[in-house]
Amino acid sequence: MPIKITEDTAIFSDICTVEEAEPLLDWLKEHPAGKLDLKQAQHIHTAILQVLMALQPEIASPPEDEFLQTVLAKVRHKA
Amino acid sequence: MNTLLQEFINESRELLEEASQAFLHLENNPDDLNILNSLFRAIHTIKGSSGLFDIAPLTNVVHAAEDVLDIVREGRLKLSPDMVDILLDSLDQVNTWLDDLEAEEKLSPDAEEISEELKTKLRGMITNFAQEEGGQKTDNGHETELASSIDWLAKISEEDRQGIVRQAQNLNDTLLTITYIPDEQCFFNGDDPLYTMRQIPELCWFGIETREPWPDINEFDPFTCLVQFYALTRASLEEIKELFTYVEEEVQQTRISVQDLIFPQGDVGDNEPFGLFVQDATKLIDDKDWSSLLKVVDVALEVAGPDLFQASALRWLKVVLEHPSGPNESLIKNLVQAVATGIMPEGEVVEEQEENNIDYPQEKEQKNELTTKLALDILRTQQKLLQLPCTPELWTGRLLSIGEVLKRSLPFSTIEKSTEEISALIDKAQKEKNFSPLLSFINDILSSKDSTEPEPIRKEPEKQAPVQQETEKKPVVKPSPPVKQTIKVLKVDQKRIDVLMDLVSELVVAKNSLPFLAKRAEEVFQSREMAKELKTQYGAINRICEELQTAVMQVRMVPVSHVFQRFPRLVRDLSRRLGKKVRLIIEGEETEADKNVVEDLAEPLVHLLRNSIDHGIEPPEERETLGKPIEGEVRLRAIHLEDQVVIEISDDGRGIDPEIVKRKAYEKGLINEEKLDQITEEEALQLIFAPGLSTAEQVSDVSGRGVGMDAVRTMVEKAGGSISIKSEKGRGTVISLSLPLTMAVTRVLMIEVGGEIFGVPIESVMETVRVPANDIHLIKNKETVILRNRLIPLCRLGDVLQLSTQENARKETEEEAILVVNTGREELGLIVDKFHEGVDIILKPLEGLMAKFRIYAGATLLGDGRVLLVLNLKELVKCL
Repeated sequence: MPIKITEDTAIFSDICTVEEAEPLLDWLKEHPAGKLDLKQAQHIHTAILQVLMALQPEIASPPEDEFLQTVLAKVRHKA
Repeated sequence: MNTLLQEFINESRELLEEASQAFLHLENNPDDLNILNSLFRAIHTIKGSSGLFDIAPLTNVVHAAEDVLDIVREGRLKLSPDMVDILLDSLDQVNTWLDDLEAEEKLSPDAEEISEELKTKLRGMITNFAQEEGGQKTDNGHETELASSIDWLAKISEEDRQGIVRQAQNLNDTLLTITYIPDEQCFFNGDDPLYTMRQIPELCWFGIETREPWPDINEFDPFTCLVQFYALTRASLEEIKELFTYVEEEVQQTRISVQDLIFPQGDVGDNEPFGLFVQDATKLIDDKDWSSLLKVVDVALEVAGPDLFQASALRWLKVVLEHPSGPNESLIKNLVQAVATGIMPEGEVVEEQEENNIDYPQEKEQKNELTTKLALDILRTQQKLLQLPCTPELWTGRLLSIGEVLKRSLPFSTIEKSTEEISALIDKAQKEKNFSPLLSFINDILSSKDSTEPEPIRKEPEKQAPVQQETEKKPVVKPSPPVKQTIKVLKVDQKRIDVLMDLVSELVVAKNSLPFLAKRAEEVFQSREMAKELKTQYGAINRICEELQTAVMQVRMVPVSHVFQRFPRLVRDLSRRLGKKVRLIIEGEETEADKNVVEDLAEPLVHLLRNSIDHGIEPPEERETLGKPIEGEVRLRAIHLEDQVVIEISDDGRGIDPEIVKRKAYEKGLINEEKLDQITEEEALQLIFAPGLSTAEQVSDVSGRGVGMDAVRTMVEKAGGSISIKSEKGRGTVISLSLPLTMAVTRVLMIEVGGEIFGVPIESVMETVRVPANDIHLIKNKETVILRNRLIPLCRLGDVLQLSTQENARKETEEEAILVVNTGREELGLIVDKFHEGVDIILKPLEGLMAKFRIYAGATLLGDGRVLLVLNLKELVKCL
């Protein structure tokens, strides 16, 4: 699975598909303080993006992918 | 096979059928928008669903067809019969591909090639049309020229916009704006809008926004797409269209000029501090001293509050002045004016209109509610401006600029004020050195309009976050919640019904064993009571069984329109190819029959219709000389007749000459000389069903009829039906097919021969008689009997089936049981040992080793577990 969930962090890698939106959402619902590690993510599906937009979880490491960086900059509430 | 694919195939077939119907209908009613729309929807749906599978050639063809239809739908292109031909060909090809898909789950290897060819043809239609339109825009209407229609441009931050402008080679360069609002359910189609956005070539800017605020976390469904995207790109329209091919209807592209991005934003503060700057700047512009102007701008920027509109305008001024393409005078003037007045003038100043590159709304532009609303908005802003305090040096500029705005906006609204009127007002105001004439003019318009359509209080747009703005729109944007509809029609795979049918037949068999049991109870166990009870129970089960059977039969009933609906197309194609005018009249298409029967009908009917048109209907010239209407008429009629469905194909063509048929039949040796003399015209006509008279060229010169008539008859008979023909020379021909309503249940009469029981289909049985043995005469060494003045040849079934044992073969019986049957052409008496009762059975064709014994039509199980073989009398006769 491109999204690996550890104790307090969801680690993204490669291309995260639509199937992973739901487990991620469930995990974030249970762990509101859960952090995301997007460093290795190459692309996230729009559904996952929606989860990030709606829940605004803390991002521990920003993605290296430039496009994703821009996307996140646009949809994250300014701290 | 993948169920999704199967579903796609089934659905697409239906849609294709619908589409070809629509096409035919369109030829007669080219302006029927409803049909056009449903046609477009059908094609569009196929295109959409096909995108789920790896079948690009199919998708491409459907897509090209959709494009053509889109233009037609907009009323910009009229369909000609040739174009319909191409479109129908394309649909046919798609149908073929669907067959391939169903068989092999992939398209044929030549699909790519065919697809290209069709695509070129289809695209050719658009190109031709584009040329006809003569230089007009050829895109399909998604593109509008008004940059002002892109409301989200204002959401791009000034910084981003300035970045884009700086990067542009030339301020007149164009950009493409993309507004992409994905369908809420698009994830289920496999779309990933974000991924599509990522693929936009030469992306300059993009934005993401939600359509509505995110719901509560517990109601939040990540699989409903609530985001929408905006983008600016330097890519060409073609590139973008290709990228968004599958979601075309969710995307809008608009071409804008880089200049359209240049507009200051911010709170309009006091103009006064900028008075000096404006004076200097105006002078420097006149001198075209750009470097000094830049310095003045820098100075002014230092003192201006950064959030002010004026400051924003100054920053833009700097960008424009520093732009590598050189200073653009009109833009500079506009921006200076913006600093002076707090409004960015729309477009360019008057005297430079000649070389203007910005798209203005043209007079032809529609005046509608939207433009009126915009005009009212503009008026309100002007009203505010007029009320602002103003320095004497700015006064004239502001007056003129407001006048200009009015002159440009009002003509596009439904507010009936002429530009002359406005000019007069401005002159008046200039003379009086007072804004009041203009102000009262605006107030009048606003108050009259406001009373009729109250406007919501406008909020300052810039201060709001985009998401909140969307909230305002929410009630408008959000579709009404879908009304829950209960499904009334079920689509069920035929296999499931077949299984049900099989189970019912097994139940029937099982049920039939109860009377045997009752008999045993009485005879073996001597329990009359028990037998009686069993019989009562049997009665109840029997009734339910019969009802169940009827119910299942009902499920299998489909209207004959399933077959009929493809004929308009056939008739159209054939008549076009043969150069004949033919009108097809279909009656009784709602008549229902068993699905298998209806399907079996298709092929013979195609043959018959083809014959009618090819050979029956005369060419138009010939019809004219004959005094017939030029348009030939072919009538297809279905009716219920007792437990049969009768289908008649009649035409008003040249009919069949029985004389010629007779002669031909004689030449072919199908009838002998004696018969040639005796045969009635009616009988002669039936000869065209004879096998020898079946090939095309032989029969074409006879009467023009008979292509595969023999084959047609065989097919109909295989389906358990019969065929007959009536024709009047010069007047037309009527062919009737009569078929059983349902093939599922057959009633057979059981007979016993040589200790074995056989079934004979009840429809072939004419009568059952017992005749004294001495009434049987030998004629030419063949046994015959005279029944009611008819001479009936006899045959001993036991001999034919080789079941007769020595002892019962020539057993001297006083009477013989004779089953008189009709085998299609003549009557025949079958001598059997014993008659039994009739039973309803579900006939199963013989399989495996037994399949080659064509003498049996099939078999079924009897209640006591024995197998009942059902005779095929037509085959039996051949064995005699």
